[in-house]
Amino acid sequence: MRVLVVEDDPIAAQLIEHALTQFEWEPVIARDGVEALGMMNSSEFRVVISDWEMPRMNGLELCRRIREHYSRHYVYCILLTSRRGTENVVEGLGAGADEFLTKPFSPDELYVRLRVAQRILSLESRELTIFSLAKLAESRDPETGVHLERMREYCQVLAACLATTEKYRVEMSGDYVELIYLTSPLHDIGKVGVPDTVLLKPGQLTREEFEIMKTHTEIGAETLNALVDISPDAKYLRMARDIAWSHHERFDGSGYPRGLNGHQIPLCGRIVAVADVYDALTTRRVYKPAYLHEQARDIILEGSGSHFDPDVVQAFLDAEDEIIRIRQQFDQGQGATVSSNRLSAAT
Amino acid sequence: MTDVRVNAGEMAENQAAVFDVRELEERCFGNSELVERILAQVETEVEHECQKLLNAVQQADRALLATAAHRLKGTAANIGATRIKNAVDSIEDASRDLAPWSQLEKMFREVHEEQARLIEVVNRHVTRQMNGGEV
Repeated sequence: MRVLVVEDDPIAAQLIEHALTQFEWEPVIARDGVEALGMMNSSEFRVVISDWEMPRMNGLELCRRIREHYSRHYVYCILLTSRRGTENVVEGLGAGADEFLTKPFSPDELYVRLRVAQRILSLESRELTIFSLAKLAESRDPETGVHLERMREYCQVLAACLATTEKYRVEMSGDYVELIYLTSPLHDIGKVGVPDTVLLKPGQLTREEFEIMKTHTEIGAETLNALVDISPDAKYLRMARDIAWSHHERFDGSGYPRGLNGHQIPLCGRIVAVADVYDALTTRRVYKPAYLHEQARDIILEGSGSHFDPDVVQAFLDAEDEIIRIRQQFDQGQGATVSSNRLSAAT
Repeated sequence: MTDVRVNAGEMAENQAAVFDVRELEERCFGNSELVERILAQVETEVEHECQKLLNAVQQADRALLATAAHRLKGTAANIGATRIKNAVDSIEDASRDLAPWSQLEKMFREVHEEQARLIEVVNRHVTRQMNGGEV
């Protein structure tokens, strides 16, 4: 990985450059904050190691500018300075630095700090990779707009609401809410295996075509299951697989592909079912206008116990204000703000 | 009778406080070429920074003095030059704490003396290395 080293002292710059090379990172040197920003505008850096005191633009100002202007990907900033003391640490981290190291640097400490940076950035990379895959699958069906973005927000709200209840507290402990946000966009990834003639058909599907369409649940599950076999400890892959196959199951057993009922259907699938239908109802499609929230709510309430898990429907009612707020934000084109706020909070 | 072994030990300790090559070697991962390359720059760099300190003292510019001291402190710390590092650390603090200029001038003279010592020790080390370890 490339690291931007911002250091005006040539001796320090050479030492850091050599250490990074030893750690098999790829250092690029800038002599002050202005030069660093110029390099960041023309090339992507995920990690910046910066001195504090430099001519033209110091390390603090550089950190502030990075936080203000580089929001597409997280940039991990390490301040490496001769300044010591809590006051300076607070000022440095307050300006947006993630780490504060003092000179002379210890190679061992620099190494472990960079490993921390790598771990933090890999979380974002995982999220982006998953979402990119989902968007790729969705790109074949462009009429759905930002369906995935909205749906994961709804899933997160529903899950967070259920997680506070006595009934689900244990099942949803730990990072369940986080994982459903991460993996719910993959629910329709199996649609990549559905032929265009079926997926993009403007009119109603024939019985045979609908049978083909239904296979997207198993295609997605098989694809993700192959990944689970490779990484059996990756909880998010297991959840993604379960969502893929179960989000069209119905609580009364009339769904597909397996016709399971009640709590035989994984909880994540029961949550995604509500979020998916709500979003489909409240957005315009070629075959229907966008329903008002109240109309969509009535349809979901009507499906409680038959199509949907009554507990998830109750969570929907409990979190109704939040769901309306999310929908309105996306309607006003502020969906990206919802997502980026969440990402900032996570990192 | 004086124990020459004790004197030799003290001398080595004093020399290490002026400049400890082991610290620099550790930071260079034992790469002797890099150590050599860094040491070849020490004299110029330290002199350059000391000149900035002198200018700041002559212009009675506290901010410039603190900045120059800070920069020299970083360089000194990186190469394992503890005594000059401590001397500039004191002058940086004193400058920020608004110490009287007479005190800052006295402190600068100490830094200047440490600069001369450092360059002498570094040059001696470089010469010894060039002669295959012999003085």
